[in-house]
This record gives sequence, structure tokens and C-alpha cells, in this order.
Amino acid sequence: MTKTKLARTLASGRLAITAECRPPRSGDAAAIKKLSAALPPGLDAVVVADNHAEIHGSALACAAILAAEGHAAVLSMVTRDRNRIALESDALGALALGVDAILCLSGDHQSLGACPRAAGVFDIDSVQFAQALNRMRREGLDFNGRKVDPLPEWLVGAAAHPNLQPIELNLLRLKKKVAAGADFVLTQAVTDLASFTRWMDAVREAGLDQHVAIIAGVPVVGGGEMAAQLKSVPGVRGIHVFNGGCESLAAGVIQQAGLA
Amino acid sequence: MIVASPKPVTELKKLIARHDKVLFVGCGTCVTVCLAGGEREVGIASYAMRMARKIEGQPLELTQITIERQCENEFIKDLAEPASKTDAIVSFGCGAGVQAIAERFPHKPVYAALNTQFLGILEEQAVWTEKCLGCGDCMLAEFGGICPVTRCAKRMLNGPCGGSTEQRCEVDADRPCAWQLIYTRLKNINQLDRLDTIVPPKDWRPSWHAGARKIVRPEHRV
Repeated sequence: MTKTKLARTLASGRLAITAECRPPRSGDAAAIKKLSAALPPGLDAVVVADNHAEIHGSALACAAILAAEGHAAVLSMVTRDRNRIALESDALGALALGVDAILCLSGDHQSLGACPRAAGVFDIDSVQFAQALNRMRREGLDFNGRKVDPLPEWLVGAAAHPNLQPIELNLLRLKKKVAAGADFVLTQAVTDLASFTRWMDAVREAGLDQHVAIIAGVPVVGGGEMAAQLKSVPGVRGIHVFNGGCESLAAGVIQQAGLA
Repeated sequence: MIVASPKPVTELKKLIARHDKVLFVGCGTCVTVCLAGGEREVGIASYAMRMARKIEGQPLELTQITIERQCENEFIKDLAEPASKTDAIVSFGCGAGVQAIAERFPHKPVYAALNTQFLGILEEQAVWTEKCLGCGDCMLAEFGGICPVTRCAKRMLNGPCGGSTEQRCEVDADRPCAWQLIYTRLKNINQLDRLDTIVPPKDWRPSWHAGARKIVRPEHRV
């Protein structure tokens, strides 16, 4: 793994604490700095959303500003909005700006909110994107087989979906993310502890938790209580707060969960 | 087959507002089968258009004809005579038919009466579903005969997205999740192992991404 803060925490065996940040719909850097100040300090990662559910400011710019402000930023990148050229190019650009962790996502379909009349790109999927980033850091090669120098030392993440059924298909998908080289997977917000625990049991039984760090997401409402329980589920390596655009609420969830 | 839907009568009326003599041309192939642009539909649209223009005091001289296939010059040539007596042609063919007619009549306005939608099948009476995008590099063998390029809203090639719930697509609850179908199908034919390996990024060059495509098959040229 890389020197990324999240990587160090995961490697140490400590529970990683992360929170979401949705870039403001603004071209003013001060608006991003305001969000930066609202986030709890000392997080292992601030995961910057990429045009989640609506058009926001650039996630890359936001992540770079957060990184400059001292946060450990993870840049979410959705394959919905960029083709393979832009994905690799922006990932390299992010690294140059101090953002050394990428969360590879397909993204919510644009018709569900981001911009219903827009065309989706979907040139590659999130598994292929994670694999491409992994290839770049290991072999130093881009999609065209051209050399990337130096090797980009980034952390590669993907999403996991505990509620996706049937479980056999769910695990096949997770296995692909592991095979693609994901270092961590971030789950959707957990609202049903029992079903999450069943999923974790299956993941552990398949041995997948040995190959990828599983960070369990919690919603901001009721998240403190859920996080307090999730942190003791075997195999859970971190907690992520989906604060839904209310960055200032993340601190309360973390405190309530006894994670501060 | 190619599936299309008729444009609303109001839109059709607007399309030909500047003309007083028009030729409505149906197509006897795909769009006849999908009840969008065959002889019957041309008849109904012609009746509606004549009525509408009469009410407005701007009568329309309308000729209607349905040819076997609008996408073949062999059949389009039958339009030469009726077209010579009209100001414009309204094609009830698919997008290919409209353009084929426009190429054949370079000095005559040609309008599309249908919205051409997809390559699909008749699912049940008067219900059609899309099955093929014509991507030019068929991958159906890898997916148990169910195309994720066409039928997954995100064109995912390595499994379902997180929005696949209750076996339904998150984008349209009325549509099954293609990946759930692929999983079930591969399981049924004992080929679930196909999902063990990562499908690499698709080469889009054979698709429309490089512009309109052309096929030349020398063995059939004389």
C-alpha cells in the first residue's frame, strides 16, 4: 500500500474513520475551505463525492483543496462522467495535486438525479477502472500501454453492496474488485445490522476480507448507533460517515459511536 | 427488428406546415411489424393530417404509398413518379429509410414521421423491448446470451451495480436487471465460471464511436 494516511491506518490494524464531503456548487475556493473547516479533524480520509445526485463543483478540485488544507482526501471518480482517457488523466492530475487515493465507482445513473437529460459515458466500468489504476501503479502502464513515470503510488478503492442479492452474485462481484486490485471497499450506508452481518459472514467465509479492507458506511441519521455496533463486526476495518452534504454532522456521528 | 414509434400528430403537422402537397411513404418491413409506419399507420396519419389542415383552412393534398423496404433503392425507385407531383416527402420508415429516400431525392425535403428507437423484439402484444445496440463486436457468448451492453443502463461488463434491487434495474423499476438475468442464465447453463474473470474494457471501435460504419463484403460483389 501507499503512504496515504488511510493506507497506514488500515495497515496498522486500527479502525479507519472516514467521512463524506460533497463539493459545493460553486466556483469559489472559499466555499470548499468552509467545508474543510466543518469536517472533523484527524479523519483517516475525507471521501469527496463526484457529482453525486446533482451537479457539484469538481470533485478533483475539491479534493486537492482539502488535501492542501491538511485533510487526507480520497477522490471518488465515476465512470458515468468520464471515458477511460479522462479517468486516467484526471487520476494522474489528482496525484500531482496531492490526492493519492481514488475510489472507483460507476456512479448513480444520471437519470436518477445528477442530470436526467445527460448522456452517460460508461466507457468502462468500475472494476475495469480499478484494474487500470492498479496496473498503472504496478506496471507503470496506461490504457495504451504507454509508460507512466514515476509509478503512481495511489490507494485504490471500490464500492461494495451488502444488500445485493443473491449472495453468490454479490461475492462474484466483490471477488472481481479484489482481483482488480482494490485496497479497500466502501459499503453503501448500512441501515440493517442483521443483513450486513450476514453479508460480512459470507465475505469472511469466502476469505475476501483477507484481501481487501472493508469500510462500513453509515448514514448520518442513526449513524452513531449503527457505527458503534458495526465497529465490532469481525472483518470491518473502518467506518465511513455518509453525511449527505452536511459535513458538520460527521463529528457528532463519530463521537456518538465512541470513535472520536 | 428495428422498432420505432410514431411522432405525435401535432409534431407531424408542424413538420409539414410549410407544404401543401406531400407524399406519405410507409415501409412494409420492420415498422409495419411494430405497428408504427406500415400501410395502416400511414392511412391513419393521412386521415388525421387531412382533417387537421382542413379545419385550419389550409387543405393538404396528400398522396400515400407504402413500399416494401425504404432502405433499398430497388424499392425507393417506385416513389419517383408520385414524388414528382409533391412538394415534400414524409417517410414512415426508420432513420435509415428516411435517409435513403433523402439521398435518392436530393432536391426534395424529406421528413421523418417516426422516432426510430432500437433493435428489439415483440415481448407481448404491442410491447417491444430493446435487445441489441449493434455495437459491432458481439459479446453475447460471455454473458449467456443476454447483452449487458444494451440491457444494463450503465453498460457494466463485470456484474451488477449497487442499485440492482429486487432483481429490478434502479433506473427503471419496470425493467429487469440485466445482470440478474445473466447470473441466472449462466447458472442454468452451468457456465457461472464465466463470471470468475474480469472482462476487459470494451473496444468501441467497431461501434458507432468512430462514426457511421460501412460494411463491404467483396465475396458478394459482382
